[in-house]
Amino acid sequence: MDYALHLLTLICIFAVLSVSLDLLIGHTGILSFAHAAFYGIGAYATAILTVTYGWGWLPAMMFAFVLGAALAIAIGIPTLRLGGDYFILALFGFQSIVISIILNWESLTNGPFGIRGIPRPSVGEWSVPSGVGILAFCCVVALLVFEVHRRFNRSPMRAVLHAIRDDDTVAQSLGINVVRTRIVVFAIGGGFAAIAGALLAFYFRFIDPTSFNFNTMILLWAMVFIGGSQRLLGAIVGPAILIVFPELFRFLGVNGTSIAYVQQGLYGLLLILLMMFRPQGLIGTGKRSAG
Amino acid sequence: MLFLQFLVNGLTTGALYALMAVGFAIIYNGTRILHLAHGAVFTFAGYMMYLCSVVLGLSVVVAFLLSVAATAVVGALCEILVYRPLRRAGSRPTADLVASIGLLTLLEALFALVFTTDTKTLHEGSLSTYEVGDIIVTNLHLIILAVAAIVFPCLQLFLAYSKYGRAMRALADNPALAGVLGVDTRKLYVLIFLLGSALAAVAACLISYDVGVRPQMGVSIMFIALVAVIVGGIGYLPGAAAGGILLGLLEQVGLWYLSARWEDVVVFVVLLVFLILRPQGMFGGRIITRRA
Repeated sequence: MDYALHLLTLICIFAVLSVSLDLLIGHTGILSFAHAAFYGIGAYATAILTVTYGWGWLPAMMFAFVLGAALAIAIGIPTLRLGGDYFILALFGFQSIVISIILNWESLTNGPFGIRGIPRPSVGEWSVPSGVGILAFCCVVALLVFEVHRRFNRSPMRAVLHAIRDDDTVAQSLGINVVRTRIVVFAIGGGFAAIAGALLAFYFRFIDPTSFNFNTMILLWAMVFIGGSQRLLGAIVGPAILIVFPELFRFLGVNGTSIAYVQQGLYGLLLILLMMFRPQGLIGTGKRSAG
Repeated sequence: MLFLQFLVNGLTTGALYALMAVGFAIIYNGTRILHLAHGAVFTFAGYMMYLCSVVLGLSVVVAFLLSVAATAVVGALCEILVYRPLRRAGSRPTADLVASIGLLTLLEALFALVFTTDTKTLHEGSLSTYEVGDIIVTNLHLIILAVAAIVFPCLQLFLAYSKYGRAMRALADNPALAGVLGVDTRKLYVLIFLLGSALAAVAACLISYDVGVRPQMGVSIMFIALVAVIVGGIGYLPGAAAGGILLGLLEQVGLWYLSARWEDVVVFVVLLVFLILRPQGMFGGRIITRRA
């Protein structure tokens, strides 16, 4: 039972990541290679503020959101202006330096050892209990994020973003400020990823740099491309499949150290095969047009 | 004479980055594929070198040649097995990027499974050194400089005068026109991947001889190579080489002031400075925005 709750909580956290990454990749055509970095920034901001500086959980989480969004803007302004492959490269680099900073700025982040003892969210004396409690907490936050996504999906903004994704020259000629819109969407995506990071910190009460590295980024991409774009269901199915599926290895008794690499290899293979045979995602509707 | 020592160290590191950067740029210019799996192709060359010279015990020169040949084939297989089917299916440019990152991940995982994540060293003991005045030069320094001095002029001659080299440049300038004028683009794409991957292999063999091989080594050096391409200006091969050498020199200066751990950060700052101030690169050229 505890095990099922654990998987559900993870799916919840990754659904937030997947929805926000889909907003970037699927709707706006912003191919962000740094989503795991924003996730890590959120987790570390939350952990450092609550553990080292004794902030409350809500201000810490809000700060994580603002920091994620602000960094996305800071990195987006010089790179989204140029667009295309410049942006992809810059984010590829951003992903690796965020990890490098987390590992090396030991006085702030405790380097490779991570930060432990992160408090659970609380109201007065009462703090959210493990198991169903923390799952419910993550669900509530995830539902808030989904609601923003759903509203957005029904608003005229959706058409604007799709225009930018499909042909930015046409979008520009229609009077859309392409660069500014991209930066705003990228900021929202970064902020949401940071929120997911905060959830992770609250759930495990311990974080270390390995949760936010290159492999996580690949995992997120695989989730988004499995789920396919456009529909909220896709953003939940992707994480659900990729979180439950590797657990099967556990029952098959695959050697512990190699299991991570088997998984990583399968995600890579999956991305290649999806691009070849089903670019619109497993449950996506119609022709998926990523980017 | 500290300055001269910096210069020697920087030039050798830079020459390796330049090889990697030019290999990447040849593929990018010719095919417009952001071939991120180039990093894994690089690592493959390192492991081939390890297999041939340490496991099989072949001489270093034979191991080097075998490794370059095998790596060129692996690079071409990326094109034949992954990029070509995607192109034939008429997929959007994003698809090859996603497939490329998938390929990078897959290969890296395979390396870790087959060879474990431990660093494999290619030779025992330290390299033999020579003292010239106050500067210390290792034999590897000399070999790297010699290889670069042979490879780059040959490459330049090949691209400028040979039939295939000219076809490659035509393809980079205008793919549709090149096709109309009778360039067999299918064959040429394979050739481009062979050549680009072979250049990565040359760099990989030399680097692994110095620092050994590990599964993730390709990604960090590929990032440096990509920055070198941007610094030199996309679409201009000598620019990519110059960018590589500049980054090699900068790295040596950086090592003087900061510890090696901050290397990625230094490279990233260089990238940002160029993207903000001079996205067209050191030598002018154009800003390429293929994807929106």
